[in-house]
Amino acid sequence: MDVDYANKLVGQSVPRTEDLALLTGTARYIDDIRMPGMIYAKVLRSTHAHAHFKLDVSRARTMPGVLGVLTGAELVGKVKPWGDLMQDLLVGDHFAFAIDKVCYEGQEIAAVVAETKYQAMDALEAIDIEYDPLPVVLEADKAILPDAPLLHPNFNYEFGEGNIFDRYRVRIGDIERAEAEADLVVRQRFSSNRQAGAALDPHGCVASYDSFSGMLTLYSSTQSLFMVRDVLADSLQLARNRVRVVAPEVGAGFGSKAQVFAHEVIASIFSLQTGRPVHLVLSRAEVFRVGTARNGQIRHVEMFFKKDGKITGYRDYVIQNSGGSSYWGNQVVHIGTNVGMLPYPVPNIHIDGDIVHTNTAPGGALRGFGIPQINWAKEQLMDIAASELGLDPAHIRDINIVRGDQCPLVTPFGQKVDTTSIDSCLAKAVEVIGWHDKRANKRPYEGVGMSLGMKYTSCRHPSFDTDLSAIRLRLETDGTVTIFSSDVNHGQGHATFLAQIVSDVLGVGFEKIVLAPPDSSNAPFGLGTYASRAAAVLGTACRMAAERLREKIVAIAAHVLEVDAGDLEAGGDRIYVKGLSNTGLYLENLAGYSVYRTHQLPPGFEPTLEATATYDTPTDREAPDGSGNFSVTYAGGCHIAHVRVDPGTGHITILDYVMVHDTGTVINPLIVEGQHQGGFLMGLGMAFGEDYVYDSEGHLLTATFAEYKAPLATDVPELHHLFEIPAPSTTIPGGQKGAGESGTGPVCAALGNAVAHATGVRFTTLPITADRMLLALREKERSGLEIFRYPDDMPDYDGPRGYEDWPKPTGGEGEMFF
Amino acid sequence: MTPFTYFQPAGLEEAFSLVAEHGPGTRLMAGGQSLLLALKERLARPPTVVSLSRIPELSAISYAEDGSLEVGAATTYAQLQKAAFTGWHRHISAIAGNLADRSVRSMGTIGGGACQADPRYDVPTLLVASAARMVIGSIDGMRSIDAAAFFSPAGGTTLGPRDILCRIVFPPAGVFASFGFDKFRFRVFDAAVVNAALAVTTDEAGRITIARLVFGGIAACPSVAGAAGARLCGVQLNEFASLPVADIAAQASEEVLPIATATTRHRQFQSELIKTITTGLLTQAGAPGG
Repeated sequence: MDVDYANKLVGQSVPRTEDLALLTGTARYIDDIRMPGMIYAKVLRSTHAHAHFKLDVSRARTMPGVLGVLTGAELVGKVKPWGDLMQDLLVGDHFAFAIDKVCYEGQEIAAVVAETKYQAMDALEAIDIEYDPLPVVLEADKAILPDAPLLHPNFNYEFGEGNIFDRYRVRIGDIERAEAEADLVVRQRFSSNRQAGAALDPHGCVASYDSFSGMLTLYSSTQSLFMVRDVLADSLQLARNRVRVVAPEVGAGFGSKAQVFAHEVIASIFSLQTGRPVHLVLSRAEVFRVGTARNGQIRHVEMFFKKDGKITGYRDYVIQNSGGSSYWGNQVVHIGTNVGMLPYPVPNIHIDGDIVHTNTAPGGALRGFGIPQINWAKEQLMDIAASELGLDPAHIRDINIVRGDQCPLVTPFGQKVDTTSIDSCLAKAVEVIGWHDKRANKRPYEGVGMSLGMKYTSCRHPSFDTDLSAIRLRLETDGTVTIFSSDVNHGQGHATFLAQIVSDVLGVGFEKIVLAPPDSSNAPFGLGTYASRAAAVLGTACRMAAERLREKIVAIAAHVLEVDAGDLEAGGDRIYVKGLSNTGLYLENLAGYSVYRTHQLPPGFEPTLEATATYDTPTDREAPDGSGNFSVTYAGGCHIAHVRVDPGTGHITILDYVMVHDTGTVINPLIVEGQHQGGFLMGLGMAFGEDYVYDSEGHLLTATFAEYKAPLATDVPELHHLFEIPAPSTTIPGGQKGAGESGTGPVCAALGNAVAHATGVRFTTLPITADRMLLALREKERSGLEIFRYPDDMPDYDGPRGYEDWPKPTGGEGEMFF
Repeated sequence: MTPFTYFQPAGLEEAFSLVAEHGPGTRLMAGGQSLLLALKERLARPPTVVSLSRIPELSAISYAEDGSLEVGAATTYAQLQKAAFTGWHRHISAIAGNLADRSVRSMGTIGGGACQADPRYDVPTLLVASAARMVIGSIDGMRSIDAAAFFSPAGGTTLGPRDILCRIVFPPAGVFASFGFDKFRFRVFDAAVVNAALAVTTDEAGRITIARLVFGGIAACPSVAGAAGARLCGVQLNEFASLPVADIAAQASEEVLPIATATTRHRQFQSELIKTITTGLLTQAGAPGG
């Protein structure tokens, strides 16, 4: 009987291979690592947000169990600053420790390594430190004022000065003309909050230097092995083949672990000094303070419309708060703004950006990478414009979006949208929520609001000209397959979805495929796991490697069976002649020939069955006018929220939430659904509770999970209205698009629009908390305003209330910041 | 954590002696839900910790002859939640069952909540509103005080360094004609932004004799809205509908948190919440079966 092996795994909800270890508690995270002779490091962190300091560590050196003490001053000239290797900033502004001045609370000042954790903590208390506090600046729009305290007076920035460490500029079309010819101009200042990655598995590492081999091994809870390896090796001036980075199970990152951190350098130095494994895992309070947070943005947005609702122009001045230091901060503005302009192919775009330092937590990558911030502004302005023009918010979007039947399409901003179903997503979401009925028959304190968002699927960062991932496959001598990849799984289900691809291409049983633990010493070079790139970029590399391996396997089989390679098929763990699936040669035998019986190989066949493939996306570098296609393809979706506001408490209940996404060809629907739910949850936290709250001196008041208002399970609505309308990518060979972040981008604006519909209160700042909501409702009643903006219309608001008070971009008009 | 000497006495007398012997730095630990967190973060560094977890009489629930409910100070919230109470005592179960999260309720104790004296965590408000008696022991003997006198206006308790809170005595199940409790918190496990209780007693004719309206989260100790409560006296419960409820709620808010002092967003929010919650409690008290 002939078995049909055409039943493919790609497209099926294969249960995740990863879950058994996660659910039974057998997964080993960074803090579970125990090594013989392991010692413990702890970091002394600044308790001031801005201060000069003097340090005396002599008492700490004599404390029981102490094996080493490090400070910044003694590393100057020995350890290289970093921050300039991977981005277009020419300033290496990151270092293991502050040297004589701190710029944010929690910044590294000194570190101790001791036989036990408690001895290390005791020794930290024996460090004598004297602070000389400086004035602090906590808000981005204050940091650009001429009299603002300067954080880094000694750095010379290519495109900035003072606290402005970089600028951004987009000039597309003719904005003056768009403005002059507009029937409607809507303007509003929007600000967004800081948000933590809040991965439950904290940042941390174990550094282990083997003085015999001269090999430094760093086990780290990171999203990117090679970025860590290269920067760490460069900083310590070690040969890169003598630095090995290994990731244990990583309990999520969300972008917050996509860079090198000071603790990784500190632990490595201690291990180099002592020759012993050094454990350095951060506490929750440390992760909040230095584990990077979402960059807060103030956007001064103007949008220009014709009477019929067509968008003719977008002007924006964004001031971004990237905290006391920032690895990725400027990229967030570039990429988030470019991609965040979708799904509208706006013909005239004029954007200025000042990216600034403040005495707050470092700004980093975080799920959405700038898109939630711009979406919050732009999608609320769409509703404001709809209201001014007397149009339905669904209609004004529908007539402006890129449509599936127009694709492939190049927008004025340069995005090459290969395929999309965003128009169908909008229509479906409108139908499912009962949009028109809920708008026509509005109930008191209930409302519906929508937002559309598109999201890059991986990205050619303007800062470095690459967007690659790689896979190596080996057919083992028992017919099993090992996948080697340096792109770290931290929730994306690599072991599952890569095995689905390999299984389909090679015809090998899913259960016979294993993903090797991520280890830079044996995995091919890849950039890491971030930017919704795993399924599309790594998945494509995997498909290419599998096809190459299949070709080799089939070549051996064709030789042994004396048939034409074109007559062979793979399936059921064997290679067989078409139509004869119960005959043929087992992969196990073919693998055996390839290494143990090399006389059986075709003439000239290079023994062993391995194949490697690297996929670098066909994407553009950023052009001087800001345009370009940074992303290989674009996922997207429409979100609609139905909310009820309690007029007595300000509490907001989400009655229903519809998400309709285009994720292209879905490899594993179960994983993609999980990604969308998680993405929504992150958006919900940003919308309704999470924030970095500081006192006037720059002390973080929300550095515990008690104070930091991340949503709990009880805050999450039933997410049963979750749909996919796949528009398979034509650029990615398998058709897939990124899933990780399209659930996050539209959430804040969808909820903001729903709240505005429910109450008449238009939030222009985040998060929308019950206290703000209730006070806005009361003030709205008192003021009699029909549309009340929070906080713009509150009596005690001290920011700019109207367009005439907006600050002007600081960069000279003639310059291009490129 | 920093090193400390740990004692687990098996009886009250032993505990009294240990506390007296080791002096003012000694910390008592019942469920450990506050102290352990502080110890882990090195925020508390007591030389001595005396555990109350192995003293059987501290976790007993019993009734006095007059029907008063006697709850050992080390009784967990989970025990209270599960207890088969009647009358207004059922509110004790409800409050205990809706405090923090399940693991805290399993370990945390009502006496710990009282001694921690953070009014945002419901217990102090419950104790003051219900006029519970606090039974305190030491090497010098036993005494009892009103809950209102247990909480110091400056924060914390009025317990002396040698004192141990042993028992809480709640008035009998039939004492209150009406009892209500409500609170607002941002998330289900959070401390209350405002919590409030209204305890009402009536005379034979059904007229209100005492209406104790108490708020937590406003000040360092529970705040009693005496004047607003007094406006209810002499009124029949079922005549509540005719009362100017919103006006009384506004008075209560002004009484415990004068609007002139509500200069921050948090304070303004509390002021509005007091009105909302009080309106709810009054409406509920006046409803049939309230």
